[in-house]
Amino acid sequence: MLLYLALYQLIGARFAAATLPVDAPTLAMKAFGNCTFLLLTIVLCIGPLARLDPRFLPLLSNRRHFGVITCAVAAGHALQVLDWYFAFSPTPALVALLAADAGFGQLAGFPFIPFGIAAFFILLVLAATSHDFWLAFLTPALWKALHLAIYAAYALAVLHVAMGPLQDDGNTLLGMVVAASVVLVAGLHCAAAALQRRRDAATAPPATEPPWLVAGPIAAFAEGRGVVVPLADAEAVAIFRHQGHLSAVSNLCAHQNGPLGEGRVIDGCITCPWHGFQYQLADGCAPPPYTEKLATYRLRLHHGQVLLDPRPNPPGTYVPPLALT
Amino acid sequence: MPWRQDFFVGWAGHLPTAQAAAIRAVVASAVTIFLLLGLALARSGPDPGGGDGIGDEVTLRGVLTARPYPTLTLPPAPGATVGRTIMLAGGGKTAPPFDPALDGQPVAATGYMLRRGVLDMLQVGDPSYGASPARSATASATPAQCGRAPASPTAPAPISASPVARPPGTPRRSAGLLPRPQPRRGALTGRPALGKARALPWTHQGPSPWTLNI
Repeated sequence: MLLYLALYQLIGARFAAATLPVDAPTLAMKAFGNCTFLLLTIVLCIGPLARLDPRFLPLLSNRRHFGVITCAVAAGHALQVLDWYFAFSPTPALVALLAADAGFGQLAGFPFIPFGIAAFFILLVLAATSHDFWLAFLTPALWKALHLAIYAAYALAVLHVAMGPLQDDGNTLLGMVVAASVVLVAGLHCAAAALQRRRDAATAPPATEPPWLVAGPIAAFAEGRGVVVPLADAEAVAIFRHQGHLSAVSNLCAHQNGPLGEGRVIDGCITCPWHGFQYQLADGCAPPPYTEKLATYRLRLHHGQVLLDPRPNPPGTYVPPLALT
Repeated sequence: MPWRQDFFVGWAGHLPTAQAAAIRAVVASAVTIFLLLGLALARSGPDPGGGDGIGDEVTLRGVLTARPYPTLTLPPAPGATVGRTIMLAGGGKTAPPFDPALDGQPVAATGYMLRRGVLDMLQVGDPSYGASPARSATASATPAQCGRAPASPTAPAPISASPVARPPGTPRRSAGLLPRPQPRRGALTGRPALGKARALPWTHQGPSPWTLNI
């Protein structure tokens, strides 16, 4: 990121076809702004990439850090704008920023500053709540919902650029970069959603004795790995095989709702592929001193098939692992 | 441990061999594209222009006020007691360089009239951009005649004869922008005699055919 800012201001601008050199603050403003947009694009691509190909999972574990860095760069852009345009304004800088452009009645030349302010505000909230303290305080479901606002921030950033620099400067390359970013982010998310839809489409077939469902033959469960069993009207269940026994827990990690079924059994614990949170096989509890708990499920064998009771037990309920022999 | 071959756990501090090559290739490509885009975007910026063609050059004579930012107080119009205040802007959005000793003295300033919202400004040449050297000029206006008012950021009355133009390198929608005061020691030194207009460093050589009469 620092290299980007340095290259942009110190080298790239030297080769610009400008009659007069662009002043340093304006260059810095553009460098920070462009960097923010590109970083935001990268951050939004990590999630679907990791869904499409597990090789990208290592990037996922650092996504929050990328997000905080993006917010810091956006703050640099905002500070440059405030300092350069409004430092000596007779009105307070923030008031002047909001009042600077009030042409809301027109499409061409529609004020772009409010979009940038809103996007930055969202990034600020997300960065401030990125720590695990807020995750625990807000609960994973609420925290996750809050952090989905990153998509709103991205949309606002696109509008900010489209209504502002793209109209003012008419920079063709910037327009192409923005368009490519939108296509890339939207395309990856659509592809990941399609893949997930295909996975979810298959539901476990019912066994002869309700409410039991057929999870699959014994051979389908590899040692140390999980198998995801989709349910018709509930969250999927992850069944793990470890040392000749099977255990079933909720497929959603209690940390950030990561796909536990894609994890592994490490040191006798189910390990989430996203951030490495661990849970004991028999009761779905995180090893002490951690306190996260998962819902557990009952299993049984029937003619070489593994059957699953889709009714979840309360989180942390002990269920004896099913012996396969 | 077999899981270490193809399963990444952040706290393990180990990148699985099966993923390492792909991750390194992707990260290297992403960083390269990221940096190349930065260079290309910086290079592709629009030309802010050289300041030509933004209106007719005018010369204004009045009393210079240095603080808090350079302004030129013009002689009052007939019937008025206080002259209009014109803000002085240099190249880009910086205040023009001048000798602080000229504060309160009659001067002649040549440049281009700009308007930012209700503010009228005179953008003068910036020596760092190769403006012409100074020349002496005489003006009849004195501080007393100008009814010199304290420098104020309040909006002056518009000058009807001034062309409205956009300075090079500035956004088109930034009402309320004010030039950043960055006074520098100019080429001129010494306090001029009261009543004599001194040409500021950014005035042009030779008589200006576009002197604005106010």
